[in-house]
Amino acid sequence: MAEIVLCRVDSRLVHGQVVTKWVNQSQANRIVIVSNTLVNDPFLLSIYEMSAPPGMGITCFSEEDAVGNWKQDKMGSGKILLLFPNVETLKTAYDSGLDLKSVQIGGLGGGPNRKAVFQNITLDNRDMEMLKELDSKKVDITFQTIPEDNPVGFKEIVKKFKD
Amino acid sequence: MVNKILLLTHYGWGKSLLKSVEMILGKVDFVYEIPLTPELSFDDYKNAVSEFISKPDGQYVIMTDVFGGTPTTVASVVVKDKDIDIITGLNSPLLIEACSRILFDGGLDVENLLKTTKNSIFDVKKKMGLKGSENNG
Repeated sequence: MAEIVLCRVDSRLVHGQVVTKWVNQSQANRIVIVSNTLVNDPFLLSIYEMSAPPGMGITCFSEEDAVGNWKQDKMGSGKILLLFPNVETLKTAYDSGLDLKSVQIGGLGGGPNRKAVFQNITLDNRDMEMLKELDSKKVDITFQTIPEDNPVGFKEIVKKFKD
Repeated sequence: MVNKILLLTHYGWGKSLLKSVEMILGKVDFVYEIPLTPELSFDDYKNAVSEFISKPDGQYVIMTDVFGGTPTTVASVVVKDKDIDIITGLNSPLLIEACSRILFDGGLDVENLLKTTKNSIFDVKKKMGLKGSENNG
């Protein structure tokens, strides 16, 4: 069975911060992306594959297949950096049986109903509700852009969101 | 021939690079920049680049800073089926040469541009013969 060394929600998926910082910090040797959109976009996936560090495999699963693979043999072997494009995908996967202990929230983009809660990380009401539910199930949620920043806990984020 | 340049960089350092190039070449009015700022999602940025490139006001080449970063990934997706080339590894010699070709020749050839600029990173002391063995020239 594989070990999830980092689970991150990041709308840009495989990009500069992830490739240069989080891969090294987490010591991951595989990247697994859960995205129903990306699984149907082989071109974009091939760019991600080319931009990953040498020797680092990238796998993309649909939400359903991710959960299936997890239940089967915990996604095979290796140290996984697990990436989700948004909170909704994370929540769906968790609810279907992907039992995650901790989640790191990174950039989620902007938008009219989104509020910045830490640096440039934004949430809307729906994201907040879903994260609260995960928090109530004892999933450790932290907010962090790059490893050099101190991670901010969910309690603090809830306060910020209300302000 | 290519007569316009679109720069895509993390935090928009292409704008500063352009200023530096203009210090050498004088005013350049055919280079544009769409900065990737931290709050933009992949789709936000993709839409911005897509919208910009859909205006038929010239023949563009796109220059991005680093392969693996969002600017390059977005560029690849946006111009996949378009007759627009992407060069990554943006640096000063590359932009100076590209702007010179457009200024002096009215346009640039991407293949030639790459040929003339891809050796722009080297060890200066070594090249000057101040370092290394005799054979290193």
